[in-house]
Amino acid sequence: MLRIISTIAVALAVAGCGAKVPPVLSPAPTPAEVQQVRQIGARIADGVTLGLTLVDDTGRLLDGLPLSTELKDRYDCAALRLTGLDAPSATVTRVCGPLPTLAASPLALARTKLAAVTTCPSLRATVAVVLGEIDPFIVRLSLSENPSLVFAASAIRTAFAYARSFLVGGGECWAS
Amino acid sequence: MLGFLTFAGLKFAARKVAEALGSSRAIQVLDAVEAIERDVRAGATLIHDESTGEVLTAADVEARYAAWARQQDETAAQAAARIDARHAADGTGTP
Repeated sequence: MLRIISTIAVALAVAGCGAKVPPVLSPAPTPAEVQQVRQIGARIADGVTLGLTLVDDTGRLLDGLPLSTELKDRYDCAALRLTGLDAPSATVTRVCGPLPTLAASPLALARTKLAAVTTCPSLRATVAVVLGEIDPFIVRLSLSENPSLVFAASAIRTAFAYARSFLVGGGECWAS
Repeated sequence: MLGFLTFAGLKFAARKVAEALGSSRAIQVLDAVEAIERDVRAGATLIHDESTGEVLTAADVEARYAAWARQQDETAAQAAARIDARHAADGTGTP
């Protein structure tokens, strides 16, 4: 089944390339659409910034209350797992265990992806982020020992390259 | 309204007592409570405040994400500092 789907995907891609179909899809958003997306991105960023301030203030509150050190540590370690920390002290490492760096933390990854699709929004920018996300999956497929999966990886890669060739325009910072 | 005034009055009285006793721990708790109040009010404003009609440039949006990154660094640094300080105080810190 997978082989059939892969074959069809490759056949469509090859047929499309052969036909030299001109780019028909222009994903460049209008200035109003860009503003809408930027407003959403800015509100999310403001909300997360505020949420982090609240996490910090609550940590200070808990720290001042007569609670067990273990409970306070558990709260601060949970915050650190979310934010990451560069060069933690020996005490922090012993108490919290291994922590992600600031750049590799879940919050930083979310921020990077969100910024990529909301600062200069376009379909092309969004597709680039999506492709980046699925690339490890395609690589894993292509390294498999199953010929069908290797073929599927090749077909998916070709199909996406073909789709990307249609995504002209967009990605520029409109109304900036 | 009455509840708010009572709460404000209680906070005022508690701060005066804490200051009179010189309890830094109690003052820390009161400061944190007031900071959380401010955060909650700012959150309510953020939720209820619909688009302001402000035209956002790419640089504006980048600045908002930069503020997020700065606050993330700050929150991490503060959490780590609290852990270090607690364990240094009770003698369980790792050198």
